[in-house]
Amino acid sequence: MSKYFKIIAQLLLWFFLVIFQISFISSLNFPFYNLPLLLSALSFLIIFKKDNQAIWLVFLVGFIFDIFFFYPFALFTLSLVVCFGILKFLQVNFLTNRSFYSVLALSLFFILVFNLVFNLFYFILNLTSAEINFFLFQATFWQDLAYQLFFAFILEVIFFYAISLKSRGLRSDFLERT
Amino acid sequence: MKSRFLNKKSLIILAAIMLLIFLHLLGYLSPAERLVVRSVNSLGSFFHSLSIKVNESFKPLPDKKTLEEELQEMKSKYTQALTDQAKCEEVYRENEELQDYLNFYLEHEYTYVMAEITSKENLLTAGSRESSIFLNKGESDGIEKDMAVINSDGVVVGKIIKVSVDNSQACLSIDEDCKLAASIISESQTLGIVSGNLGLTISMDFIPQNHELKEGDLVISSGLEENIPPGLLIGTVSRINKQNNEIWQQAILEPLYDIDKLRIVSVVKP
Repeated sequence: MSKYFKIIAQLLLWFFLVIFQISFISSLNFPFYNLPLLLSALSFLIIFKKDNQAIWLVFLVGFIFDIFFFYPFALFTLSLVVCFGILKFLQVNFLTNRSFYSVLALSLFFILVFNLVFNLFYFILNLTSAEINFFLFQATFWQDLAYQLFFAFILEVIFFYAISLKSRGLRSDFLERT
Repeated sequence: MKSRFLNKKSLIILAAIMLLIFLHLLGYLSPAERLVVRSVNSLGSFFHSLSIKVNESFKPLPDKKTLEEELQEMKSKYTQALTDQAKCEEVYRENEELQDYLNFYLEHEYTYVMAEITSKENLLTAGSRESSIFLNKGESDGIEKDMAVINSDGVVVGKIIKVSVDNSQACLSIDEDCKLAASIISESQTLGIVSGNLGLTISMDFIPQNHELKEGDLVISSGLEENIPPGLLIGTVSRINKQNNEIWQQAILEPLYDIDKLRIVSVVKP
């Protein structure tokens, strides 16, 4: 019973987080609307949770965004799933420990890849539109991305050390001096 | 340990996504979608209002000199408005008499759908594509594409660009992709299309050189769009770009609303 209660509580928490990102953070002034709270939390979850649990949440978050916004359906879900796959590949093959630097690198990479993948998919789906500009040539894209990565860095530090106070699963290691 | 994640699991995930798209297109997901949208709408407007309060609390307070200058400007505008009102009342009286003579009855009655803003177009992703807002009303409330969206003062803030059953998206008039058919109230009665300019102002381009415009001229909807009635205020002319060696002149309009303070808007049903 408590297991199901935990699952429902987690789902509600993520739902609340999605609404917070959609309605509160998106309405803040520049540059705070670039705060990637949801993506940072999602990357954290993907790194530390089992694949099966993480993929369900990725689907849930992507599904809510796909329903609420008027982009081509499944664009968010597909982008998040692709980023999930890339993140897992990097985690398993390169950054295998759970040190602070690994978590930070993976999270920042997740946000960077998501932005690139989403915008690329959107650009491809709107190739026939005369008004679409390639996102890599837009200064606002790079500006917003820089702010996102900066805020993500701060968020990951907070998440990592907050959770490491409670859990022994994290090693807040630093590089050894040679 | 090499992961085989990219093999069987990735195929299953891709299949799940394709199934989702398929079910969405067939409409089988619509009950779940409506539930999600309504849940987001109910909490979204609250969080959006909270966000506005947070923004306002961090705004710097204007200094005394700025406040005094604004007060003087408001006083002179008020006086001018009283003068204009007097002239309008005279014209209105005359119009009533003429209507009686001609036995001609004109009445504009618009219906409105009030909606709360639940989100703005600043998403997860970098690079703003458009300045737009999301409303918690949709097709089930009678909203259709290309309807005008106005604020509490009756000023056009944008128009509906996308609609679903329970929510809708409106582009703001300051967005360069948001185009409105407009008319400038002046001697020349200029008709044209206004669109956003750098996300801050509105502009009307391709105005013939022989049209006389002046700062302060009112710009209203022309009624040439099917779903937008005429006479809705869009903005005022704040600057005119006119070069003698150019074929056209350009009017820069000042939007009469503050995007940061928009919480509740109305959608005008023609």
